[in-house]
Amino acid sequence: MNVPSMLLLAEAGGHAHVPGWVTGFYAVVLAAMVVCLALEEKLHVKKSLLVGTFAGFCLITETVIGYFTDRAHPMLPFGPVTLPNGHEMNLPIFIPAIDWSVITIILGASLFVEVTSRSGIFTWMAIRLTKKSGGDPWRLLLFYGVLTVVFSAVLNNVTAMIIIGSLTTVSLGKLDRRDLLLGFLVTEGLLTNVGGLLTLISSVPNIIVGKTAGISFAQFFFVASPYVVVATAVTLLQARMTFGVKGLTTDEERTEAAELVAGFDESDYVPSDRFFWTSVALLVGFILCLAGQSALPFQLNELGMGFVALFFAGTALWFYKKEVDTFYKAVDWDLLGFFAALFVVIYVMEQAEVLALIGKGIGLMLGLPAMLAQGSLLVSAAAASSVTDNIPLAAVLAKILAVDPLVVGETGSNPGSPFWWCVVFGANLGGNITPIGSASTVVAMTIIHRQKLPLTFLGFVKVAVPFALVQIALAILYVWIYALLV
Amino acid sequence: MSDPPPQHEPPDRRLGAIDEFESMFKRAERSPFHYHELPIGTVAVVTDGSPEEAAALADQVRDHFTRFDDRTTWQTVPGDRYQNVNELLDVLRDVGPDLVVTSRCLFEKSLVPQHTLGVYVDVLTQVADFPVLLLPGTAPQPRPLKAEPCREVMVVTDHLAGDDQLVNAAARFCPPGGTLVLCHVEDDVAFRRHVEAIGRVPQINTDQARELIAEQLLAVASHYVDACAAELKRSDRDYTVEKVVEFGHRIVRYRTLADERKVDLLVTDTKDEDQLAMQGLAYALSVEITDVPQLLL
Repeated sequence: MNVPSMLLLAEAGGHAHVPGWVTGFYAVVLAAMVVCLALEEKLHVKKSLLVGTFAGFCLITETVIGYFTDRAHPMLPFGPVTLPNGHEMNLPIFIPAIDWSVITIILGASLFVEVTSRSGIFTWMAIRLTKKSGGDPWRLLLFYGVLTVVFSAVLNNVTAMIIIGSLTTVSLGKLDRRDLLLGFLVTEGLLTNVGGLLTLISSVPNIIVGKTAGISFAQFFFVASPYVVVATAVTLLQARMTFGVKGLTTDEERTEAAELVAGFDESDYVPSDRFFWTSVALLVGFILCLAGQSALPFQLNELGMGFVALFFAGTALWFYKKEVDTFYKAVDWDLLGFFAALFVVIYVMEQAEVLALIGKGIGLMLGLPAMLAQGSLLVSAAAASSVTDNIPLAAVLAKILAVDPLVVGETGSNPGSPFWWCVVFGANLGGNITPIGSASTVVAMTIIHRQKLPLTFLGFVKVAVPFALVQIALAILYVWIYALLV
Repeated sequence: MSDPPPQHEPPDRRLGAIDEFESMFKRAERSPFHYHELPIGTVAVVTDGSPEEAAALADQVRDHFTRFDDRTTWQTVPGDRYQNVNELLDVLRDVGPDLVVTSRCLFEKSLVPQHTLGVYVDVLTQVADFPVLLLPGTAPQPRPLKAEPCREVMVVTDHLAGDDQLVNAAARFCPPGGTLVLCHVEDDVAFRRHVEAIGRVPQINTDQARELIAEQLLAVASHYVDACAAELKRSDRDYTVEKVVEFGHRIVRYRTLADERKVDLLVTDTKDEDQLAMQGLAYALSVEITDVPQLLL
């Protein structure tokens, strides 16, 4: 439970009794929202509006139902919020319901990436590696695979897929190897979700689970990185066998291919050397500050990761001080609106005891023998996130695990629990089972269709499932080893 | 409530981003230039005059274009060896030349030809796979080659990038110490028409489109000329490579450039994608600029 929620509950003087039918009603509403999110592309409605509508509906109905069922203890704890310094503040109930630390991390990081990417640093890296590959398909797959993982970790899965996918279509076209394009794009799509596991800020489920569990950036990286390295290597080998990606064999082929890729000019999109190197420095600084955020002196650590992200975004924006509005426009406000609305929905579900109800079901799973419980939770999370958005899943599961004694123990806090990692691995890797499982696989499919390559929904599942199964099996094995070590 | 009327929606955010990055990477692509010495083993000099006249013409050509060496075999095809186009093609098939030197309007003395290549050259440029060197003037009214040897060769095209053959052919005629002018003129009339069309599309910023498209049209050719200059330098070719990449009326600009620079040879492509039965730029050039020798590929 986040701090604002606790404050509100404390203010309300305890929780109201919630009738069973109310919990059942909101469970149905939650299920309906999840179904709508799964059908987002078919409904042609943006996520923020969809979830915002559910949030509005939930707030109105819960207020009205609370009024008629137990007027003395309304389900939504209206009233002023007490700040840490003892001051009281009147805020609309949906404001403290939102986890602003998550929102600020996403806002700051996306603004920062938007500005620094203007320096050409990411395209420069991508083209340099293309040239280093000498146009050899196997080396190209290796380099693009590693780059996808790194970009997914530093940027976000979608941007990583867009950059590497675009370069793949151009470079394989230049090498006259369009026969390999489908395999490359599918592999890159699958690797974005592996790369999304590398750091705390690499994907939204990581941020949500990490923040709820109290896992630091550095701790997250040290736990996740060995798995990411192994899973990347295995995925690339599997791709080589599945898609028949082979290296060039003759000197003549190698010379011809090297000449073709040598024609790329990596400096073409670097507007200024000064901005380029400053962006490199800012990027390194950003990662170092995030990694060492919890150890920042003079209580600066209390400002949180969201501040670090916004601080670096603000610093980078000084390079474009006259056109900062163009970067504000580039922010994915739909995504931010979606998160804000989602937090409100989850808050309402918490008050209606829907989360407690789901928690009971999960509690049964967690009560199994440890290894079986961990495996079951990871597989369930993966299965659920393969057909619907992994963000609500991570948010709901994180809320539930945060109050489960099997996870957090008697102290109420256990960042080292392997169950957090079950959710993190499951929510991220589940996206590799279907093309709608994650935003980056949707982008991969978009590029595939844009290139007029034949791949249907079922075709993707058929190709991707063996990869996903191997990755999930590796993840289960890894969590078991981790559980033995902690 | 009925649906609102369809709006001119911006493209999907992700599709827009994919397109943006694809464009960036395509922009970073450079067309490489590969130098190779064009082999000219046999030259056929085709005239409609006597064998003596043909031999004299061959001597003039050899003196003017100094890059031919002793290994080159010269064959003359005077007017008595053919009566029509098919016969000329048969003769040339037997000779198997790497280059044909001839004049416009063969056997058209009585027609007072103007603004035409004549039937023989017209067919040669369309069906033959060897380059044709057109001498100044026409067969009925020939103009002499300059007394000085050829020093400056100019490639004229509207799609220079990637046309290695054109540049290699021009380089083959450029003597050591000479100047190779690589010239790419974008048709400003067509460009203005496209910008006018863009000006009627509300989703596209007209000024931005004009600026960016113009920049890209010239950048591709400009990068290619840079690649040519670098490769020729690497290959120890002692030329000065000059770049002319600009917008303008093609024929007028080529005419002006040829006059201003006093070029000795124009090189153009007759068999590229734009030349439908040689009705493109090359034809217009070869009938409009008759006072400068032209190499038609």
